Amino acid sequence: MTTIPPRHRANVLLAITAFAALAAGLLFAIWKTGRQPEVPGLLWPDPPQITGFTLTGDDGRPLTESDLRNRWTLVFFGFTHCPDVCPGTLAVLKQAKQRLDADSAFASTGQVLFVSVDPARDTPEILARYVKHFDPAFRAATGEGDGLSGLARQLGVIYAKVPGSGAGDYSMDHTASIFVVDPTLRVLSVIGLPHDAADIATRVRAIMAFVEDEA
Amino acid sequence: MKRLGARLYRLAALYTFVAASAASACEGLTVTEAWIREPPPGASAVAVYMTLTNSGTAPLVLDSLTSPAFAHGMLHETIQDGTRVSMRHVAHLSLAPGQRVLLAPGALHGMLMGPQAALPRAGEGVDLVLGCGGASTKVTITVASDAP
Repeated sequence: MTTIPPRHRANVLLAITAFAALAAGLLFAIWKTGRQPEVPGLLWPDPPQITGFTLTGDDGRPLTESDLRNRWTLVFFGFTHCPDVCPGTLAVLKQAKQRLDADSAFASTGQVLFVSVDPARDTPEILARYVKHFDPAFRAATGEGDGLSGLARQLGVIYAKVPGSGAGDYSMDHTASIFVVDPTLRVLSVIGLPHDAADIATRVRAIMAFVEDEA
Repeated sequence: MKRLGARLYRLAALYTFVAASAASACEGLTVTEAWIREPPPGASAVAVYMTLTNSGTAPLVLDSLTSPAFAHGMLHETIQDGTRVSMRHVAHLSLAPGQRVLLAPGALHGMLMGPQAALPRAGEGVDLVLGCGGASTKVTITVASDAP
């Protein structure tokens, strides 16, 4: 067995300590920058960022990116003539909001925004009555031309008018995902169909905790 | 409360089944677990969900779905292509003997358009007529405040 001469012992100890410190630092750096938190579908570390947009809110006033700032927002696109997916997802969002309100900061900082892709039929008054049936706190908005397409483009939302069976009748094809937008307008998750209240609440809770931890 | 709701729902589902059997003009067609989500104010179209079963021995082709409370009705399907959803009219629905087809949210469903009077509220019934080659089966579907 080889013995280390006493005059070298201090150096070996120093080397071991330095290596351990370096390894710990490296591990921390990897953990901090490269960690993928256990949040399914989290868009990280480079989430898309919403910039400016202007829609018309359900109160008839402009609804812009500033209405999303400093709040957590769940955004869903649809239209009121939609019989199946839109009322289904709004009912799920109502339940998800109830769950989040019960045990997270979502109660004071969260909101649900329904954006209509059918501005020709969905006036602010119609939208207000429609969304408030699900939850009085739900907000809705729509916009003509660039107003709507501006936000849709930023979120990767597509929509298209499809002729229906009757004269003048039409339906809208649309992206039916829920977008989770944080208080600094980062799109942190896109939740696709089928929508489930417990799943949405769990994911949003985890995302909120992650962002709080990052700050 | 929730348990009571579930019981009432099962009772309603059973009632639907009995009603369908009693008025069974579409040979072998039974309708169970039927429900309609309470429509929001101003809704122009309402989806109808149910389980259709061909309990008979001959194939069955469902070719219409209407309601006296609505101007039009049809079998309808929500189709998902990536994140995009679209809808299409389904002209016929074939059920082999013993086959069961689910009309469910985000999938195949009935669609009623153009309410003739005030939209139905939770707890109320909506009459539905399912047509198959000239014959028809009538059922009454309970409107629920939310999915059962």
